Amino acid sequence: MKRRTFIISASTVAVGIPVAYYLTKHKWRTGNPLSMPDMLSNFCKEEELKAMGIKYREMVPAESEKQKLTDLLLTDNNGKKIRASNTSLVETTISDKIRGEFNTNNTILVNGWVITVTEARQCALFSLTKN
Amino acid sequence: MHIDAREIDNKSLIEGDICIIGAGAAGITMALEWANTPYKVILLEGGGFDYDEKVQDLYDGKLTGQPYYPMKSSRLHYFGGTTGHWGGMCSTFDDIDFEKRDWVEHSGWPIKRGDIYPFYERAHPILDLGPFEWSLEYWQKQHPEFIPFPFDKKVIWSKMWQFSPPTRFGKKYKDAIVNAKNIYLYTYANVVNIEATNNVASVKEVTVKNYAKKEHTVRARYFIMACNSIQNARVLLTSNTQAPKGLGNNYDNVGRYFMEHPEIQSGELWLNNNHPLKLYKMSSGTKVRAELAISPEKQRELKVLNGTVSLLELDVANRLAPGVVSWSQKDPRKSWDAFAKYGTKAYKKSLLERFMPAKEQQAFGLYVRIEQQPNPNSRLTLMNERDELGVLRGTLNWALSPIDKRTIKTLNQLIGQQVGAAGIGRVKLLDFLLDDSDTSMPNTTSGGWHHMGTTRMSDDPKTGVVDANCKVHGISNLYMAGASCYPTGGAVNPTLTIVALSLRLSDHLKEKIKIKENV
Repeated sequence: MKRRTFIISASTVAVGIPVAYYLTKHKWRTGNPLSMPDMLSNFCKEEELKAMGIKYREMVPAESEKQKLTDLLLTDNNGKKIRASNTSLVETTISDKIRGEFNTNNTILVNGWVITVTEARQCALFSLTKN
Repeated sequence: MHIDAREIDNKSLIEGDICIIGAGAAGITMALEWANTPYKVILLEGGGFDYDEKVQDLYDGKLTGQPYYPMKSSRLHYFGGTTGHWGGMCSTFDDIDFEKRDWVEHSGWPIKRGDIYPFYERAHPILDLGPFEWSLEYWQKQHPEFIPFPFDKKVIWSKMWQFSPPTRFGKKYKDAIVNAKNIYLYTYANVVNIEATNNVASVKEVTVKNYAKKEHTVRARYFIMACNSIQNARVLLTSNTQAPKGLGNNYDNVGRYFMEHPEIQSGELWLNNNHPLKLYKMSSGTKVRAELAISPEKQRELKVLNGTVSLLELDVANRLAPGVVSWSQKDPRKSWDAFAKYGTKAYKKSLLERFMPAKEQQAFGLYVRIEQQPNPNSRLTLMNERDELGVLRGTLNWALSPIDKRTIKTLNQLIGQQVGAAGIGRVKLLDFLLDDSDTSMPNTTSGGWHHMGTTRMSDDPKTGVVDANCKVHGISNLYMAGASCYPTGGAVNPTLTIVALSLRLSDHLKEKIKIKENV
């Protein structure tokens, strides 16, 4: 192989692998903040999030239905309901809830992950909505 | 002065004022404290100046209970002792480590941290450590790049560590010992028996032997056992001529409460940004770093033990073999080689990993090191088999307790909660921690090669072997030096405290023998 060809090939591999890796890893992420735990989805693959959701539903059978989970997730820290269509408000509300739950140690162990109840509910909803 | 005990006349009588048995970190520290005093110091070392397979074999024994390193290879048996292969990690015990904690069975020292703290400062130059500064704030001023995680200090705090080069006592202090006019170092002088007076109120003499079939007698005013936790207990148990259960063993405490620092990868830390981690990382040139430690407040609230966590890149952590796997050979040199080989292999990245996005490198294995609860069933006993010098070999049963595992789980959960609250990532616990009904630890649980306990310190002879001054209860001139005296082990490597405690013992003896420190 000529030196120039080698450099081009190597560069393609060097750039290509991370890009391909990133795209493969994150292509499954949905834009729905209700069922997509933002931080966790950086670290977990789709299957792992689903498994966590299934596990949470087993742990808390009372929260095993889509509507129940949606209602809980759409309730802010003051008990006020928010509209699912207001995506940015949903994002902010869920983010606030997660932060608040960590600060008050309202955490739960799901398949080993130390997460908040809100994150667990997001995973549960994800497992019900994503085939 | 150096005398090879193989070369002198058989049945020699050796006499001095102070007899120190064992030339490792504790024994050498003590001997140096007595250099250039008017007192004759006999320093007995079982081996020579270099590794000797036949001498090392005297440490061999049997293991039961929790899997552990072979007894033969977990200590070194020559001048300098196990400092010949230690890693150099040093930190101080915390105040809470000395307290009687109602949730930690058999906890509580008869002394406080303040009683040892001044000796930590004196131990620094001996171990070639940096300034006597242990606060994060001090080290941040020296290294502004040391940025701690934004955690609540009342939950998880950054505990500082310093690294000795590591100081090899055998190399560094050989000349000082050999050239001291009042120190008589006898190599190849293995103590095989301590003979007490008939009423067992004091030690009369000790018998030493070697492979040259020479046997000598040593008499002194004071005797200090400074071998190591296993050998200190073994010699006491085997010295049963006057005391059938062994010296200092009226209440069956000798050999019990053997402690290690259980070490294992217990979780994963996933960070979502490039948080500066210099404070927590370790490389070959590291002199100072921090580990994440559980606060005293949380220990009290959650009724758990002390413990710390260090970080290791996850890809490396996942490839790294547990210590009990890599350090499995009886020959310490072979175990060392295997240990190093496994380590080197773990750090080698595959071609694919080299091209992975940097973000992936923000995942770390959480390596926990905890204090283990003192457990009377974790113990050294004697077996029927004898070593080449006729001393009964030991059986070591390393036993852990349910609180040990609960502490590991709690510590990881607290870090997970703090990481989440700080909004910097998430923590995942490993599978072995998820079933609360299973209190056993995995067979991959390793130790830090830290032997502690076995002649524990207590004011009450019923609950300990030595008193607050490390003197064996009921025996006026027999002392124990080193980590065998620890009633609890804290969550830090023991060497710094071994040296500090030895300095303290030395001062005590000087006072007792009525000499001035600067004589």
